[in-house]
Amino acid sequence: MSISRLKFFIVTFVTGFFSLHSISQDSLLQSKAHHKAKEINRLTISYSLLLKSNKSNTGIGEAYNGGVKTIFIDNHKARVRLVSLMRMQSVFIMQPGNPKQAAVITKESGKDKYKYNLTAEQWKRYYRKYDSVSCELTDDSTVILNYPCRKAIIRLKDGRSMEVFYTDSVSNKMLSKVEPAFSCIPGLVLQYEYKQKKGSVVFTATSITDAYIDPGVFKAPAKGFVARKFYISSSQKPGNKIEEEPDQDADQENDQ
Amino acid sequence: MPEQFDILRRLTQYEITPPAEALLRIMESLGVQDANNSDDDSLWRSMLQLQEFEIKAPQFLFPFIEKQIASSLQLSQLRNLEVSPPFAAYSEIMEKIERGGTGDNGNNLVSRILSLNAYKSIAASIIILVIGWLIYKLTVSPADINKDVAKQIVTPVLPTTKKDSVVANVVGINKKQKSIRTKKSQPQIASDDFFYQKDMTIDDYKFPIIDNDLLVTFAGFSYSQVPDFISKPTENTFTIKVDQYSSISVSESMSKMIRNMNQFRSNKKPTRRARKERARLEKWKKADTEQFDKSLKNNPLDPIDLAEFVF
Repeated sequence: MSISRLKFFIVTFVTGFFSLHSISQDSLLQSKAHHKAKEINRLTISYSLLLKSNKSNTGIGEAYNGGVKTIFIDNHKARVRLVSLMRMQSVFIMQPGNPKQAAVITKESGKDKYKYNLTAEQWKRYYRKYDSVSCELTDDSTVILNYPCRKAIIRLKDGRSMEVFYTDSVSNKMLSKVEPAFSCIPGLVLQYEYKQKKGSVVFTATSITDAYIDPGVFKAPAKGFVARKFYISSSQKPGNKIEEEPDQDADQENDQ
Repeated sequence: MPEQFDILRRLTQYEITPPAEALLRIMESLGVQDANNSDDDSLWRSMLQLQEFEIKAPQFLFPFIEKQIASSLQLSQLRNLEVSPPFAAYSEIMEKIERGGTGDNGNNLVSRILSLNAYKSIAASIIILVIGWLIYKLTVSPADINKDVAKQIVTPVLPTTKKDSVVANVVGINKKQKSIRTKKSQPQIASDDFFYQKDMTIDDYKFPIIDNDLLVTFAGFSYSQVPDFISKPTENTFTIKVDQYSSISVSESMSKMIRNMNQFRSNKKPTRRARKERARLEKWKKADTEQFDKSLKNNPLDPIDLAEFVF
């Protein structure tokens, strides 16, 4: 065989090999994507919180850096909990059917522990930032916890955006309630990042399990927390005077 | 000699004013009783005029007296006159001095007298000391803002168990625990939350969490309670196991801050750097409260709210 023919075969073989490989990969992802996501009724997902900055440390951000956010879901009950050096806080998603108590927010750390009982309307106001978000699904992909994930960009109506990586291998009907920001994402978000000029905040999943969850996890505390009335101030900046706007819908009974 | 003539000249100006009631006594002795009486009135007037009357000495008189004095033998003798003290006076004085200033009755004859300058010095010293103490209390003593963190302190108890620890170490740790437990501590607020934590675990050591607040716990160690992973770190970072779901990885810079917060001097008081770090922590806590606790406008679980607060 002449050298020129040999070269021709080598080039053809290599080109063909990589083409077939890419096609096969795409088919694999598509097959996974089209494969019906597994509905899991009980989920515990832990995310690590990482603050990235150009500086060697993020100042006050170091008190949140390394924190853990955990999502607990069991059928219609859910709890999202943040544990960090600075604070521990939870959001309880209550079982549907009671519009007067759609969620409970608790601050678990410090001397002044408090809780808010939110109605369905107040819950919507609490997450009003994510009303009318749009999701742009991209072709970028990665693997997180052995789950193939695709990238999406969530755009808020005020122009801010967040990058997320999600897997459609796992689904749960409570996910959109637990994280209203990801209501347009067709799957479970395993990493999300919000970037600013000076740094970014990244939540990355470190574990997913469907192990048994103690029912006590979903029980909003009754003792040791001061019940507060729901209100959202109209303008509040760090260090500025807070202008309070009492909530006109607030008609909460004080638990204590 | 010139001094004696100077004295004489001054004597020429010397005068004695009679007592004020002298005129009245003279009038009484003369039998004048009523000044309104015409006879008595004229006498009053005469006496008043006499009161102002004066006769000057003749001009030759002074030089004459001066001459007499200068040539007077008796005066010159007087100038040289000396009077010697009694012969036994000296010995008596020395005897009394040796006796310590006490008299025959044993009473102190010599009293301690402090000069006025000494009193002034003592008063000035006291004033300076008081001012210095006030300045120290107002400026050098730890900032009051640290008291807010300190008020929340429940004295942590040193860990009781460590894997593979030898008996001697355990005894040592238990001894320290006893001394810590004698201190007063504030009761923690009870909570029925499933995750209400009393302890956290670091490097196999268990520590109680004060008010479920990790940063306050780390800022609350006293001199004898600082654990080894802070005072003698083997690594730049450490991990806190809060519960079965949450293990916090403390960053290098945060670990450094915690170590700095727990530096103490030999007198068991925090160093200046420790006080500064605790003050910085207090500022962080206040900022966090302002941002997330005053209202529900911001959510610490939301990455956008958290990023916009931190950065």
